[in-house]
Amino acid sequence: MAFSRRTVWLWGLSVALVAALAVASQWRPAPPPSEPPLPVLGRFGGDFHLPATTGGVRALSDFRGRVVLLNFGFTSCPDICPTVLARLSQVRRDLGPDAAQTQTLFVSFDPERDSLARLQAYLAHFGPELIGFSGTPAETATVARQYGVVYQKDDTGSRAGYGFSHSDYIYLIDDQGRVRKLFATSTPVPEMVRDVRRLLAGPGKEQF
Amino acid sequence: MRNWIVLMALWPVVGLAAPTVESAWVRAVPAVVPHTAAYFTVDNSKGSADELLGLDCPQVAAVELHESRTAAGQVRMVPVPTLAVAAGQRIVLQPGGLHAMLIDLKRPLKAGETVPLRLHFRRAGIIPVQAVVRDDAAESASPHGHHHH
Repeated sequence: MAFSRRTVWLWGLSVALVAALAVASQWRPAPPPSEPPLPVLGRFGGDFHLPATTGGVRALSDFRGRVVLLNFGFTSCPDICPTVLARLSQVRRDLGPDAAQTQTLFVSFDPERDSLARLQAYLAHFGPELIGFSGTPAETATVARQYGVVYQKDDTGSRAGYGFSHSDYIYLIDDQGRVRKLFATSTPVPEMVRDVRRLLAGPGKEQF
Repeated sequence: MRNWIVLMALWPVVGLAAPTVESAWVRAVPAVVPHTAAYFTVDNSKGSADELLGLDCPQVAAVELHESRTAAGQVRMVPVPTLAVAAGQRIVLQPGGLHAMLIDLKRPLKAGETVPLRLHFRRAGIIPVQAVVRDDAAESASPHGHHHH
């Protein structure tokens, strides 16, 4: 009994189809290349203790378990500081429910004018959850040095009084109090949101 | 009669020579802060060279032109005594750069209200503009400072 040419051809096609289906069923999209974890920037940071707008002295280590966004500035600053704080408000809005696992902190380097009461009223405008610190000039200088923050009183003759020339970074600090990234004033909000999420997703996975 | 014709012929030219001021807004700040910043765009794309000499506003003690300049990770505020506006130029005052500092607010400003500003130009004279008070901390981010409702 001889198979017709046509039957052989059909058999061959069926086998090829089954094989193709088998391969296809095993196929999965390649996992996205895993991003390397954000490095720990050991040169910067560390714990500090300063008088806080929540009352009493608070420490950075009080916020262990949360991702912290730390910024330095002064309330009499009309342009850069409110712009940075508005951007941090935007980051919190974009984080949605995850924002509850973060904390925004603001250290004033102008204790001469920024009483805790003034700082509290100022920060409340940008979000009720913001916590500010204003210590003595010496305490402020110590914390600034820890974080590589440079600030210099700058009298330009403005009727508004003195200002500061200052470094303008936002410090991204992980849930263990370690600085993981510095954001510039111009860093896009989505990049900050993404990096905060990387740290929020990371505690178990990011081992060093 | 002849003078009238000349004047009418020149009128559009005179009219076009002035810069226009657009998108003026003032940042709403907490009441504890006596100063804030105003931002606007000077569009001189159809005008001839001019110079912004300063501003006044009835709701503050003084207005100063400043620029936030960033160099080597350091930001500082530099006074801008006058602002030259070349023919054809468009100058955007926006957060993190050029701004008009409104000093010693007579009362806190609320988001949504308007603040009259008068810009003094060397050639064009006084150009009045109504600046909208905006709370940019409560708004969604907008790259060009457009007003959201």
